[in-house]
Amino acid sequence: MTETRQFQTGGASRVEADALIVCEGLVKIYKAADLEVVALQGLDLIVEQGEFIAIVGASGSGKSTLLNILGGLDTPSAGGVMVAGYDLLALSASDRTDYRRNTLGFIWQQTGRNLLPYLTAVENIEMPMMLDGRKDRRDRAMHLLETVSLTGREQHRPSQLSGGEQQRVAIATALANSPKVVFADEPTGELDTATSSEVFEVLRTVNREQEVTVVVVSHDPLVADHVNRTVAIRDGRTSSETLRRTAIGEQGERHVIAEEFAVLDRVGRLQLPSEYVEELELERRVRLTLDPDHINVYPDRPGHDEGVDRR
Amino acid sequence: MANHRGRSARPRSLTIGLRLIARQLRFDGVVVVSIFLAVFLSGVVLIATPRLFEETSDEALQVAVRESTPPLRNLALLNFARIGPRFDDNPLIAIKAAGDRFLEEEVPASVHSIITEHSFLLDSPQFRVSAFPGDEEAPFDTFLRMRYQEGVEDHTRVVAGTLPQPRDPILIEVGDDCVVPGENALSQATPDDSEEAIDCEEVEVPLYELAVTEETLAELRVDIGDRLILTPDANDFLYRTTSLSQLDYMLAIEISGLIEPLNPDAEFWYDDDRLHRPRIVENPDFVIIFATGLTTPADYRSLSSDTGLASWWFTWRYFVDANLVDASSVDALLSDVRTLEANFPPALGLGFDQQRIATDLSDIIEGYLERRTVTAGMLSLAMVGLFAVAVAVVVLLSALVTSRQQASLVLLRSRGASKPQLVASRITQGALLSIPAAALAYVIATQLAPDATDALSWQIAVLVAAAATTIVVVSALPVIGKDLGSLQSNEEAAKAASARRLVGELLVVAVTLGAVYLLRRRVLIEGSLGRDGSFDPLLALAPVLLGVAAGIITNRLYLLPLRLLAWVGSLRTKLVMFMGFMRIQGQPAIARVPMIVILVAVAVAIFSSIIRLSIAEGQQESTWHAVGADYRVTAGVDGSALSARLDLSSVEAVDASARALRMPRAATTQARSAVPPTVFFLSVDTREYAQVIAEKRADPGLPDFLVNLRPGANAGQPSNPIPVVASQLWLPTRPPSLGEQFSLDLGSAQPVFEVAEIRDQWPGVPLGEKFVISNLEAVELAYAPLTVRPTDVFIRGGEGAASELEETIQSQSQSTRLTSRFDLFNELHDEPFAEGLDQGLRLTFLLSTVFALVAAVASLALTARSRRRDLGYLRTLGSTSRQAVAMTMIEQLPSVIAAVAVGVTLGIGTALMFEPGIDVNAFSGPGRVAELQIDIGAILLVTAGLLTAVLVAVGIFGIVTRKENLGSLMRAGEEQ
Repeated sequence: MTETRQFQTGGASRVEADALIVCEGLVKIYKAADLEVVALQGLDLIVEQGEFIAIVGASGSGKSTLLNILGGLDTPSAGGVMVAGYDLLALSASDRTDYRRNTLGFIWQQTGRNLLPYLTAVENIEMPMMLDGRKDRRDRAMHLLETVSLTGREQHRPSQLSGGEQQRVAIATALANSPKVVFADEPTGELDTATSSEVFEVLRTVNREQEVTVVVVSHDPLVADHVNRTVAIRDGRTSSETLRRTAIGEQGERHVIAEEFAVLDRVGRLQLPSEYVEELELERRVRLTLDPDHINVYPDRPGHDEGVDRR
Repeated sequence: MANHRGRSARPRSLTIGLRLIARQLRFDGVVVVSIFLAVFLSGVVLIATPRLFEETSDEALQVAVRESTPPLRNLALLNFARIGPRFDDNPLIAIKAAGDRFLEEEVPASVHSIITEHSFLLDSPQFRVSAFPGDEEAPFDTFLRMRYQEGVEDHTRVVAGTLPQPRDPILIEVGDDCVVPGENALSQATPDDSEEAIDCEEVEVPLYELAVTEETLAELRVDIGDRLILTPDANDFLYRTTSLSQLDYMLAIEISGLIEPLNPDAEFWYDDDRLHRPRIVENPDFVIIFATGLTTPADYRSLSSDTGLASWWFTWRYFVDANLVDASSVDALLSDVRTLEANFPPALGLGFDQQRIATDLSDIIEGYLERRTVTAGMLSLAMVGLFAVAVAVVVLLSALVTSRQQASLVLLRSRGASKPQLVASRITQGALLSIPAAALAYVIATQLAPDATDALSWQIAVLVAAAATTIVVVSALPVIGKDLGSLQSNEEAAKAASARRLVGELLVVAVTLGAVYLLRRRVLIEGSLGRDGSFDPLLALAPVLLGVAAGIITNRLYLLPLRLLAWVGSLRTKLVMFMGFMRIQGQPAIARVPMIVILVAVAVAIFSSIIRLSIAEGQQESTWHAVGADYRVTAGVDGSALSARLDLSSVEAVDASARALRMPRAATTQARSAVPPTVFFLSVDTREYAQVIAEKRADPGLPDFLVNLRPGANAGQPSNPIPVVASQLWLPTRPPSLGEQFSLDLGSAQPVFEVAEIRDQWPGVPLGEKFVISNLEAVELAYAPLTVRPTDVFIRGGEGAASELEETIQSQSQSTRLTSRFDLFNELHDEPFAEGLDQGLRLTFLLSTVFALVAAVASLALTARSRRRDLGYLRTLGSTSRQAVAMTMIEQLPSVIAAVAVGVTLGIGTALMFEPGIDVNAFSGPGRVAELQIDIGAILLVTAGLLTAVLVAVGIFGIVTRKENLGSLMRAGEEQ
């Protein structure tokens, strides 16, 4: 398959009522000693039900902060965020507990952090169901173990499982209470390539067969092969999204077409790709011209004033 | 967009599952077991102490009663009256009936219930022996009483002759110089033929037989069959209502036989050995003998008649069974005994036929109650301190468990566990730990004291379990309640001291110190027993309060020198020093809690050891001071000369001995300045005494002028006064002055003495006496040509010498008494309250030390996670394992050393500060005022133990981390 990259612009200008996750102008400010760190600077994001998306970005771009907010582990400083009908800014303590228990599943990067070390694999999976007072938890736990291809390992403790197996148990645990969405923060960060691929494949299976929305934060380039959509975050905002689709060529060959879009926020701002900016040496101001079906962007330098209305 | 509320967040299950909780506990194995043990040990101590105290109280009361002499613990009803014989077969029936009637009608029920038997005895008026066999000149004044004691036949045996029987009157010749032999002669001695009877008159006198003991026989210098003529002793109290004319009669007695008490120390004799041996009052000027002989009941009728209108002494003795005395009803018993004493007061000027009670039972009970109160107070002091330390240790261990479980708690919360669920699971954890521990403690405690009826035991067990569970829950609340976002980080950042926290700590310290100051004032004013005679429980809080204040202050201040040391380390590129001290400063607040726990635990341990040692040393000092040597031999009548037959030179166990003359009330005369009217005079063979007490505690440091005195022939004359040691206590207005001279009336001599040295106390002299100590040789010279008969002999010998000494003394003079310092010490030491307190203080010391050790090791565990990561990081940079161990030691040792140093100081300081409220004298005996003793051994033991524990723990940590995979070490803190 070949990959064709096309750059297009696009973005949502209004809240999608049916979307599973809606973030509007999300802001998160941390105070550390005497410093204020603005981790999110008005981030917008929409995730539809059933999507498998990846959130990528450089270190410090705010992606883990976003995930913590979406996972109910942290609260934003400003903005709005709705997940599965829950307004995360307006949750009471009991609602937040219910949200964490029944609406989402969470997977961390550190394999040991996802599981209680003194419980077996099946017991770890049962644990969220225990919190919810579910009666059929053993059966469901065994089913989930089968889903993640760990049948036969149910009585093993985390210390007796490999990193990849631990993460698969973590995935099963995250699915225990039939959540609507699973958040995974660098789930393959500690795994090798082959194991990482297995984990992503499991997530993909879960997404496809159980129709669970999966949001993965990752540095791993492999994630791109597994997701339909990649959202890039830069400087606390969504900068671009890449959509992938498979197309069939004239010869019947399949090729994946990745279309990268700049994200336009509700007030019309967008981030130009950095390589474009560097290439054209764009700085401070740019000149815009409007054509019937596109907008031109010119650097503010002599010789680049075509189409300028000098009246 | 609608705000979706979803399902209710009320938990479907109450907890997170018992199995999960149980697994969690197992996972934290060692720490959880430590909490269990801490709760168990504290529970045993708290439950068992009141029970053991109750049992000890019973035992102590019974011992107090049992160990007292019969005259003190029993009741004696005394009366001088005329109770005529009834014309029954038993002439004494009326006397017995009077005793029975008193018991039934006058003795309150609580007193009646502890009396098991009673008997009576009667003593005749006193007679002077006016004629001895052979009509020889009486070598000394001899007085005689006739006695009958109910039941005496069962407690004596006839050694020779017969028991007394009624006899017919005899005829004797009376008149000056009348010596006429005849069948009724007083003896069978044959007079010279040249002697002629002059003015002799034949008179019929009643004849009574008496049985006496061999010692009485020897002192009377008579034999079986000899007869003595008796005339009434007009000075006898019983004759005071009798006119002189009624005293003009005579009796004759004949020694019918020798008797011997089967057991002279038996309860039956009531410590009254007058029938066993005569009282001899002897000094260089005179000798007086007071003898008692056994008469027969059959003679009572005629004796009553023949003694005219004189009264007899009647004594009814009611014997108390110590085993029947019960501490739970002691208040009622005391009240009833006092009522009895009030109704039959032992007042002077007792009138005819007025009964009086002689007993010291109320004093015994009051002494017991006072000791019980003081013991309870002392034990409370120890127990409150121990309880505080136990609570602190459980808090610390719970915090450690929470620290270890934090990641699990965070994970559970992120998986949707609600706060109530987590709190409930924590309650379940706490209950799973503390209920079995408390239950086991209850079982063990009730086995330790099975006879106690303390109804609070199970309630204490419940409280212990509840307190421990609460601590376990509360320790997790900060994690359960905190915002999940801030808990995501596994690293606990060291929080800078906020101004608010500083103010809070200052407030706590100020309030604590203020409370301690007020407590001390209260103790100084009211003493340990307070106004109402009960122990002040707030006093028990003083060491704990001081410990908390000291801990807070130490926590703040001890970092300052460490910062300096870290800086020095950085200057000199000493990695170990720098990193070790820097890590201390980077520790979170929870990591400093062990230091406070160690400090308080050490303070409580040292405080307990001081009290324990002070009591033990006080008992030693007291007994040394009371006896003055290992042993002391004295005459039966205190202050009387020792029997001339006494000779201890053959006793091999005696290493040295020294004679002494003791006069408790020697009158002072011929002083130029005012001196006390009487003094306690002790004159000792000082050279020998120096050997008796050499290197012993009793050694007062004999001054040279006493030991090496070379008195001249005119010793004791005004030109050559005898140098003496005088007491600081002298006159109300002043102590004695050096060079002050006075003389003492020692009977036949009034030597002159001069004060050469002044002392506070002297061995063998009771506290509070104004005393004068002199060299015996000088006094003997002053007495010459008369001989000074010693009253005391001080003896040096081991504990095993007692039996040989006792045997020798009894064979030579049964009236002589041997006082053993060892017995006195054992009596004090083995007294139930003293023994119980000693054990309680030992236990407090031991457990406090154990808890301090646990805190020291917990301190290591609290920072283990971050330490492992830091050391792993340093290892990746090339540091060695040895450096890692050294860094850990530097990190751990300063806080332990600071805590031990401050704790020891605090323990000593608290004891000194509250010394007036700690009544050590209640257990150390009356011989000497007990001083607080610092137990250096205990300090060294605690210090060495703690340092060893830390070193061992650090060593183990080093071994474990050295074997650990560096990759997993670097992840320490990210995983559980």
